[in-house]
Amino acid sequence: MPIKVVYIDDEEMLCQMFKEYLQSDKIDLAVFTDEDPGIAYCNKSHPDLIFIDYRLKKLNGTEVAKAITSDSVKVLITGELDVTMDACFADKIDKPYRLADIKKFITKTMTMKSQPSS
Amino acid sequence: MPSKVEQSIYERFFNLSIDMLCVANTGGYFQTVNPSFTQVLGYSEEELLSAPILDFLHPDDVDKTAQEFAKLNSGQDSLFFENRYRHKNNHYLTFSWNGYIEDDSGLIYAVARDITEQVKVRNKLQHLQRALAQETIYAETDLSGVITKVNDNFCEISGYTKEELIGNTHKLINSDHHPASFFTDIWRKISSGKIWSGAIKNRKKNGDYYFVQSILVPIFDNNEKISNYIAIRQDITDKVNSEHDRLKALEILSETSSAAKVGGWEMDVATGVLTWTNETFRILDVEQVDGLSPMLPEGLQLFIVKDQPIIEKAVQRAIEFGESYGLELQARTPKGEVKWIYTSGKANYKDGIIETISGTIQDIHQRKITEIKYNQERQKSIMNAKFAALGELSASVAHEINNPLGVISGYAELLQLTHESASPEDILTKSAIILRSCDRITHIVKSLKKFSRSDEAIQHTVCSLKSVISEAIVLTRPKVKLCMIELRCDFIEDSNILCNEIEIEQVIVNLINNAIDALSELPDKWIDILVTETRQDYIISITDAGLTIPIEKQLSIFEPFFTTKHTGEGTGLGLSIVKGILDNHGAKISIDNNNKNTCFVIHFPKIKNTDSKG
Repeated sequence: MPIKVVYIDDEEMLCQMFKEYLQSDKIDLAVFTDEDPGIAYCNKSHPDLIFIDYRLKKLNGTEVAKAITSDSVKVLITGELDVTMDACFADKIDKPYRLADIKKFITKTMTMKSQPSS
Repeated sequence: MPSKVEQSIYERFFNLSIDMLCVANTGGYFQTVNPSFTQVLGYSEEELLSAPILDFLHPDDVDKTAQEFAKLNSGQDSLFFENRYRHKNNHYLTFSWNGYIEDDSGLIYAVARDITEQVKVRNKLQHLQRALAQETIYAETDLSGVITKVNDNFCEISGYTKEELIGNTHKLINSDHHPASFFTDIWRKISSGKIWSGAIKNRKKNGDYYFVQSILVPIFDNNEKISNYIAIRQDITDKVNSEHDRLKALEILSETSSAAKVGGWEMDVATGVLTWTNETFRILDVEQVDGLSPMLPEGLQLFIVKDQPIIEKAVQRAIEFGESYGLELQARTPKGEVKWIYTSGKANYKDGIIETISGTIQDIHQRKITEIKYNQERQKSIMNAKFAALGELSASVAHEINNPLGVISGYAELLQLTHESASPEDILTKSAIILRSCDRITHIVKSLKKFSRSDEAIQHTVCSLKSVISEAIVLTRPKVKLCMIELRCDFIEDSNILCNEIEIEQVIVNLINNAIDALSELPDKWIDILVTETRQDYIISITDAGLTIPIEKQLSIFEPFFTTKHTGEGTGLGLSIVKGILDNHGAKISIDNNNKNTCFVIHFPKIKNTDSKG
């Protein structure tokens, strides 16, 4: 079963390359440039992993994360220098990131998920 | 008959007498004159005897002399009769006559004495007496001070009648102003035969006061004893009052100058002697010694060494060319204290020649220190503002750069990943995206470039108001976006102004930043920037959704260091500096009170010369 991943970022270009690079039969990726449809999607389909950019159109990443009620692993992505990570996030990745690193991160999270005891 | 010896004694007496002796006949001729006549009148005996007596008289005295002859002819004696005779040299002499007529012969025997000099003295005295009586307040008292005589002037000024005054002493008009010793001293002096003069304050019958300058003179009798006193007085009430007013005005002036910390000074060009007002002494902290005037070199020494040539030159030019000056200098008081003072000077001409230099001196130490401090703080504040803006910028710029950087890096990774399978179109699309992201970064870096410029005198240049505002918006956009603010902007396309671009950009950035801060807690967040124009000005209005600033605060928001923000939240570039920058550009900033929202309005003057572009 592929791992369900969501990426929310208002930067269209980033969403596109994210999709192009990571979409595979192992990763089921959904990208959103607007926060509302993203939140709605997550609350409905309970993805395993959600990457949320901090600076969005109407809300910030923390607000979006809090609006998502599923127990998905939430990761904050930000290009800001001084955004403190809220406790609702499992991790934080700084922009610019390497897609290869994201891929590793997804794989690692997937492995951890399949071995919940560790 | 007298003996021969007796005869000769009479003859000698007749011939030697200094008094003029004569015998006149009924025909009106001298029959006999003694030599004294010739000596006094200059005529020879023959001349005197050959013409009628009346021919020798002053024309005005002819009638009364004829009458006196008639009186003698009627048998009466003539005593102390005065008339004037013409000297041979044509001047007149006054004679005093005693004469009688001998009944039998009808001859007149008369003695005359030349009283010309006495008459002169007598006339002089009479005139003096008349002048005193007419022109002064005149009184006479007896030895005990009881008034025996007063003139009309005395009555008029004192308000008492002659009857009320005479028989009284001067106590009647005593004002109680002077102590008893004052009058004791006067009495001691005049009773010892000396003249006293001085001013006395008296009281009129109606209670009003009047001042008289008085001369009290003891009069001596023929035994050299004081017989009485005369008092000659002059009304000086007006003078005293105006002097009093003048002193009062001076006092007020002095107090005013003292309160304003303004002193005055004057220098006599010829002597270099300085005259200082009390406040000048106080400002310069120089001890005031009675009767000692400071001289110009000492005055110049009171400035610090660095400023001495400046004031010296200014004074010199004032003396030579009549140039006025106003200088802010540092003075060193004799106690060694250095203080800022303002001193001005101007030349005063008399008959076309510079006679004096006069001016003011003002203690401006407090003001000057505040001013210096303010300028230092302003400089510091501008620097701080720059750093703060830079810090703020770097934070938001990081985001702006990191996004395209992420795009660049991501697409590069994609290209690497698909380097075998990718179609040429795919490669072109991806590299175009990379290049576009590079452009985005370049643009941001260019905006940053200005902040790295050094502070060295930046000229005002012609630049487009539209681009200045656009740049400011670029710099603030990240923050505007972060705070979810809607920023609307309406430009005038062709709007060139003469300015220091960075400074004006900072002004706009600062006003936008202020608006952003003000909006943080409002539900409806927007900022409108609007450029309009009048004939002379471009008007830039920056309006935000916040309510207008209360009028009582509007006065102080342009003051340095005023902030409504919490400590540490201020941007550092106070509105005072915004105002300072705009002042330097001849522009004005104000708050539009007709707007219900916060609206800052800047009137920026258009470029006047038609030769500059735009």
